[in-house]
Parts: sequence; structure tokens; C-alpha cells
Amino acid sequence: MSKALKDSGVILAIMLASALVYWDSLKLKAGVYDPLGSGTMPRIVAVTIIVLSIVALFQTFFGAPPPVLKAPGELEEEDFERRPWLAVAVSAYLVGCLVLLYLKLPFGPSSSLFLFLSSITIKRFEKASLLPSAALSLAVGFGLTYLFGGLFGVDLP
Amino acid sequence: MEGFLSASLAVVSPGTLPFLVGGTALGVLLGAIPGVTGAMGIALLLPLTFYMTVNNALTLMVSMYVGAIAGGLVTAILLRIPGEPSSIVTTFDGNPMARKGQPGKALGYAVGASLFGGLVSWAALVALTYPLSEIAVRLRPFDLLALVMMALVLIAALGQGSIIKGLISGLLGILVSMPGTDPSAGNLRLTFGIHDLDAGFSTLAVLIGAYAVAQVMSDLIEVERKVETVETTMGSMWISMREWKAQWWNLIRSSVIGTWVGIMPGIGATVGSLVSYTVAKTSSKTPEKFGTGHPDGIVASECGNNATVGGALVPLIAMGIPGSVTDVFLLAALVIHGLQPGPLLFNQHPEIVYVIFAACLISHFVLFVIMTAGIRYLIKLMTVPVWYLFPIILLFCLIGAFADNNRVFDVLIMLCFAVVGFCMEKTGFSLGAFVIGFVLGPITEKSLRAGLTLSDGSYLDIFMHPISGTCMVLSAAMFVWSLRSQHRINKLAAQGGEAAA
Amino acid sequence: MKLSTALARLPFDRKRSNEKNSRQISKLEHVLTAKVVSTFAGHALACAFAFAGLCAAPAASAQDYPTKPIRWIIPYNPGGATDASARILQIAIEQNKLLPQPIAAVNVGGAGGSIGARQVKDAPPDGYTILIHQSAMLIQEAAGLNDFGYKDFEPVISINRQCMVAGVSETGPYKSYKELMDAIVAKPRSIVWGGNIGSANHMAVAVMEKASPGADFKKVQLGGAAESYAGIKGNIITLGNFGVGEIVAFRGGGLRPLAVLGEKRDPAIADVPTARELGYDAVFCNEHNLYAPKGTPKERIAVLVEAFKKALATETVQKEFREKLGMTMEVRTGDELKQQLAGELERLRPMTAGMKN
Repeated sequence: MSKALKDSGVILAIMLASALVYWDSLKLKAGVYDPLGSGTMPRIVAVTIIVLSIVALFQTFFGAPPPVLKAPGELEEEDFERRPWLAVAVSAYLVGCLVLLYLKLPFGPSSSLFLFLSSITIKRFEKASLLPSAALSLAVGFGLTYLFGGLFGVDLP
Repeated sequence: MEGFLSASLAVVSPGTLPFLVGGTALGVLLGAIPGVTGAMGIALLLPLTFYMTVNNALTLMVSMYVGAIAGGLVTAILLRIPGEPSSIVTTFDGNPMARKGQPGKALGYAVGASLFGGLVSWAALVALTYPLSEIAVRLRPFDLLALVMMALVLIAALGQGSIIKGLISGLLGILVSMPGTDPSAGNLRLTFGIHDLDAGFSTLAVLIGAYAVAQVMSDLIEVERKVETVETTMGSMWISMREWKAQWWNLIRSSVIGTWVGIMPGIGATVGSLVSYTVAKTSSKTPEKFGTGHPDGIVASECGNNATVGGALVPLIAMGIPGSVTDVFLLAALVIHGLQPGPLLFNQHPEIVYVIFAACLISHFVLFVIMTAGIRYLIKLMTVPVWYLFPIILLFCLIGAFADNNRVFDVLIMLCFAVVGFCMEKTGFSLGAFVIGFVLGPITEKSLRAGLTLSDGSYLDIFMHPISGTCMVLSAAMFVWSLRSQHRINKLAAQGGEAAA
Repeated sequence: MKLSTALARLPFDRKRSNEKNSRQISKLEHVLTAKVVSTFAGHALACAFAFAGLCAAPAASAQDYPTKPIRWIIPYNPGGATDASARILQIAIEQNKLLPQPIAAVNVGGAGGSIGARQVKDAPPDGYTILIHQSAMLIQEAAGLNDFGYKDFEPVISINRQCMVAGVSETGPYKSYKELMDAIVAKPRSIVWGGNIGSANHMAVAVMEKASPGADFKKVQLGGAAESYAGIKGNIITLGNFGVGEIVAFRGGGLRPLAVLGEKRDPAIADVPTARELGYDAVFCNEHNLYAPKGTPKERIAVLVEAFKKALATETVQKEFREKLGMTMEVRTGDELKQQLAGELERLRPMTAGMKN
């Protein structure tokens, strides 16, 4: 996907969200104590966002890209492999961990499982990394449970 | 003065000192790790502070703030990778100097300048906060509204990327702060029938999601990025008095610039170091030396970014307007402890303000000691791969979002905003503007509505009073200016970068 | 949001009271967590589930209640009067061993207390989830801001109350309650009141207006007591309503209390007359009560009433309520409490017209 396409996608999503807010705030009537009521401010903000988004959309296709502040030498060195699926996988694990917690599995095992899965995925399931990852995950998972539950008194899920 | 002394004693008391030293050290460490910023570290520690005393919590966060901004300089100088965004400018001269075989000296200049900048801005913090909060008590709702609008325009105009996108981000932040119970009238709005949204989006869930989780996700994608190590033989970090003397005017000028930039609401350390550097370069007799490992460049940058810390705390304490993204998290920490930053903080809880002052001062000295004594070990740490930190950070985020209100719903909100933050960042929408808009949203709306009630519905009133009128004119001028000469600052920065490359 | 922020800014002396308080709390937490940890260690997974509230409550009888920690929802954030009241009581119950199991106090703040209240309303009625709430619930019900009210709970016991006080600037033109009310009756909407629309201090000004026919203040939403105080100090508003504890805290700083909106004078500010003494029938006090989910067995309610009655009678609780929070106490339980709530709701109902948009 080209950059302009990505940009305009996000801008359109923002416009859509603002339009949704605008539509929902129409239900709110004017206030008794103040001249505006609950709905006016959301409407003002939503309309401004939509107007600015149109300008931004225009700039995406016709404007010059703004120079980005970067450290020298950082510019062209993109010779590493990007792994977007890694982020997706780890997010999925996080959601899975949440589901486990929701099913009342205690925090220690669920978080250890999450840590283990994430770390071996980052290491591309190398055999050599299985054991250390597992040990580390268990230690950190249960360690965090103790740290938060025991020392800081957080009421863990 | 007495209050400050007792607060200083409290901060160095055995119960709190570990938080001060630990906070500074942790800040340096996180600041030094590229991809993990100090603001993120503070966000992750927020839930832990629920169960600390206010003193300990504030000491920890302020010292982390101080540590993180300085921590970024190590990787900036040695590896040409800014550990913190605010250290980008330090790479311009710091790295060339290190490559020329004087890494110790580059670090020495940077560390000394950090301390100096921090102390100057601390003095400004102590001198300005009280008078400003006395003025702020008398601000009418419209004055506050105009100030907030100026802050939003400022952060959009001086942030990276297009001003239009910056403004959209800020407004989007305001929009996200609105669902839930309308704080002015008490009725529900924009919840779309979801009762879990009755209190709106949980502040922590949004901040952690948009700022920390989104950042970790983009770090994960780039996990294979190789760190280009520069072989360095550490020389002495000693900078002689004579060499410092040559810098005295640069030190003072950069500190003042940094402090001033810090005080301006909404913009933080990156702009502070950038402006100091630019001014140092343009007013130098030998501008061509900048970018080739010139000590003046290192000093200006590091002095400038550390000086913003004290400066940025001024509007936070005096008016409740965060001076930078990191201050957004400090603000959240104060609110969690039942303290509303703003003009009344000094009246009602002077002891809290003094603790912030004391922590800010003492942590600068602790920082200096840590940096001079521990920098060798810090360099070793840089070569350790950091990938295994990311899942742990995510786990911290999960706990943090949950612990705010003990609700799983908030964790889901955090995940949603992680996606939102990720998409926004990748397409050039400033997350800094977004989170600042998010925490300023309620103030904006409240002041607008209270102001209109007082003026019986007249918008004109906002231009009729000196403070609000001036702010409105300034914001409008700034908007037009930055539209006309768009990205002027970024261009300057790019030139600096090209010169260095 | 409104009430919680309002109360979060209650200005009692944080340095003195809160830190000691939080130290006590953290000590307590250690005791509590130690217990929880031992439960985990001692029993199998099933027990951990029971702690999480998954297991159904066993047959209801007073002897086997409570057999696990009680979750006490505080529907406001830490730092406010509601939170402080609950924590003081929790510590008293713990220290005097009034219940065989610990009470775990959990803050679920937001939306003027409705979020936490809703959680308790929907919790299983087994006596293991209880709620502290204030008059805000009645106001929200009367104004139609919430789709539930006190009748959806089992009122257990009244905890404490604090009457509201009308306050103006010390340097301003109004030196007595009568002067203020005469001025506003003579020229409606000429005087600005600032506070939190739809909350206790709004109710207080509504009560004041009702007692002086023709009075109509211009009402500005500023926020909690601290904002009202700042507004008076900054000369943005003229009148604000405060709790007694807040008056004590702000009094030296340029605030003049005109009248207590209570049945009788408050010992903490004995020199301030009541509105009734001055001939105005304006009374509004904010009360904290303890609630359990509707349908909680009577025997279990009785156990709670017993424990809380004893806790409220201890000297430390009485002293801390009085001195730290400026609260007074009148213990009511059962039908007496229900009647009082019903009466208050009906009294407030006509005055909440227009609070909901």
C-alpha cells in the first residue's frame, strides 16, 4: 500500500468517527444552566476535525511531504526485515491472555503463557531458545504476579 | 523556604531516597534504550504508584523524568541512535566527536550541560510557579480556554509533521475525552448505550494504549533492526574548567531557551534542544563547525533539552496544563492521588509542590553521579538485545489499564487505542498532540461552557478581556505563520542533519 | 465524574491525615494479602475460585457468613470524603476484629458514583459485595440521571453525614444570609453561584432558592468545592456551597460562611447560624450510607449491621469522622433508614427539575 493511500485511509476513518460523534450528539438537547448543553462541544470539535481532515486529505495528494526530523545516517539504513505479522501475533496472544483471565485462570499461568508464546515467536521458534524462554516466562510471569498482587496490592483479574 | 527544606529532607529520608535514586537510574536506563522512552516508562509505572504514598510516587516519577531525558544522550553520542526523541539533536555533534576518538569528552560535555541546564530551569521553576499560580487563580474561564487553545495550536505548529495533522490529533484527543458523563451537566452522552462507558474512557487505558502499546507494536515490527555499534575506547570524561569557560554564554543561553520552551504549554524537550542548537549555530562565529563534532552543539542540545524539564513543570503545577507529553503522565499520577494540579495546588497542598521541587533538584545531582560513575556499564548494556523486554512491557500495560478501575473493559479500551495510536503514528498524526488534547479536553469544554454562562451566551466576550484576547490573537497568528512557513523548524533540523551526515 | 472530582478535591489536611491513613491502609493490605496468599497456598484451585467470587454462596445462615473476604466497593476515587469514611471504618473493623473475614475496599470511581453502584447492584446478593454511597444517588435518581435508585439496593446502615454551608467572599458585599437572599430576590439572576451542577452543592443552592420564593441565582458549572473556592477567591462567582469540613479548611483563606443548611449548628463551626434560625427553611445534608445488593439474606444484613454498629461506636471512628472529615453521625438501620431515604427522595424530587437535560 502506498503512503498516500494509507494516510487517506486513516483520515477517512477519523472523518467517519467524527461524523458518528456528530450524529450521536444531535440527540443531546441544549442545557438548562448553560447556553450550550452537552451536545454542542462535541459537534464543534467534530465539525472542525472534518474540515481539517478535508484539508489534510488534499495535502496528502497534492502537498509536498513534510521533512521529518531524523538523526543523520538513519535515513537510508532500512536493510532489516520488517515483521508486521509479529505485531499481529503478539496482539493476538495478548487478547488470548485476556480471554484466559476472563475464564478465571489465575494471572500467573496466563501471563507466563503469553510471555512464552511471544518470546518464541520473536525468536522464530528456534529450538535453542525454547527452554530459556520458558524459564524466563515462568519467572517473570509469577514474579509479576507476586510483585503486583503481593507487594503493591493490585487486585489482579 | 522552610517548606522546601522539610520537603528536601523528606525526599532524602531513608523511606523516599530509594525511590529517588531508583527512579533516576531507571529513567537513565529506559532513556538509553532506543524504542523505550521515559514517558512510556512513567506510564507503565503509574499503576504501581496507586499504592505508594504521594511523596514516594511523585519523587519516583519526577526523578524518572529527569533521568530519561539525560539517558537518551548515551546512545545518541555512541551509537548515533537517539535513546529519546529529545536526543536527536545531540547526535548531530555528539556522534562525530565520538567517532573522532573523543567519546569520553563528548559524554562529559553532554552530562555537564545536562546538569547545568537542569539547575537553571529548576531555579526558574521555583521562582515562577508561585507567582504564576497566584495569577492563575484569577483567570476567568475564557482566559483558561484561550490558553488551552494556544497550547494546542503551539504543539501542532512546532511538532513534527504537518500542522493540520497536529491540530486534528489534538482535537481528536478532545473528542475522545468526551464520551461518558458530561462533567458539566451530569447526563450521559456519546456512550452508544454501553454502560461501561458511563465514566468515559479510562484515562490510563487511553494513555497507555495510545502511547505505550502502540509504540511497542511498532518496535516489534522493527525488532530485526541491527544496532550499528561504534567501537569506542572510552577516553576521560574530564572537561577542564577552561573548556567550560568557553561555553559559559552558550550554557546560559541554551538553559534559558530550554526553560522558556518548557514553560510554553504542549511542547517539550525535542523542540527545546532544537531551538537551542539552532540559535547556537546561527549566533556562532564558526557555524561551519557545527555538525562536525563541535562541543558547542553538544552543550546547546543537552542543556536545552534538560532545561525543559523544570520549565514544563511550571504550567503543570500552576495551571494544570501539561508542558509536555511526560507531564501528561505526571498529571495523571497527581489526579490518581486525589490532587488536581492547578492554581489551588500551591494553596492547598504546598508540601506536595515542595516535594516536586526537591525531587527535581536532587535528582539532577543523583543523575550527574550516576552518569559519571556508571556510564561505562551503561554502554555495555546497550549491546544487550532488548527484544525480550517487549512482551513484559505489554504485560505491564495490561495490568496498568486494569488496575485503574479494576475492570477488564478498560483493558479492551487500551487495546482499541493501541490500534488507533499505531495507525495515527504511522500516518504522521502526532500522538503527543493526541494525549495532550485528551487530558486538556475536559478543561476546554468546562471553560467554554462556564465562560458562556457568565457572559450570557456571548462569544465576543472572549476577545474583550486582555488575557484571553491576547492569547486568541497569538494563536491565530501562530496558526497563520506556521501555515505560511510550514515546517520551518523541521527544515532547519534537516539542514543540521544534512550538515552532520 | 462530577461528584468524584468534587470529592477528590476535598481539602482535608492531607499531610496529617491522609498519609497516616494510607500507611495504615498499606499495613492492612499486608495483612490482607498475607491472608489471601495463605488461602492460595493452603487450598486447591477451587478455593482460589471461591475467592474470585465464582462459587455460589452456601446456604444462608448467620454462622457461616462471612467465610471469605467481603468486597467493599467505594464508587469514588481515593482522596475524597467517601473514600476516607470507608477506609476509616474498614480499619476499625479490622483492628477490633468485628468480622471474622477481612474487608477488601476497592475504588471503582467515575460518573458521580454510578459505575461502582451499578457493579454492586448487579453483584450476586450473597453479602460478599457491599457499597458505600452518598446522597448523590438520591439526587441522580430524583433527577432521572440513573435508571436505578436506592430501592434497587438493600440499605444496611447510615454511616455519617455532613450539612452544607453557604459561603461568600470575606471582602464581598454580603455579610449575612439575609442580605444575600434579599439581594437575589430583589434582582433575580444578578448574583452568580458556582459549583457542581447536579451534585450535593447544587442541591444545596436549590434548597436555598426554594426557601426564599423568587430567588434565582445564575448558576455556573465550575466543579467541586475547591473550584468554587477558587472562583470566590478570583471574584468570578459570588456564592458557593461547601461541606462543613471544607469550610473549616478554607475559612482562613477569605471565605465567609453565612449559614449552615442543617437542622442544628455544627460544633466544628459553632459560630455560624443555621438557616432555620434565621427564618429560612433551607436544609440539605449529604449522607453516606451502606448498601448491599437487593435480595441479600436478612441474616447476613444483620451480621453487617452488627459489625458496623460496633465500628461506628468506637472512639477512633467517632474522632476521625468528627475531626478529619467534619462529619456527624446518626445511626439508622432497617426500616427507619428506608423511610428516611424515601422521605429525602420525595423532598428532593421537585427541586431536581431541569437537572437532566
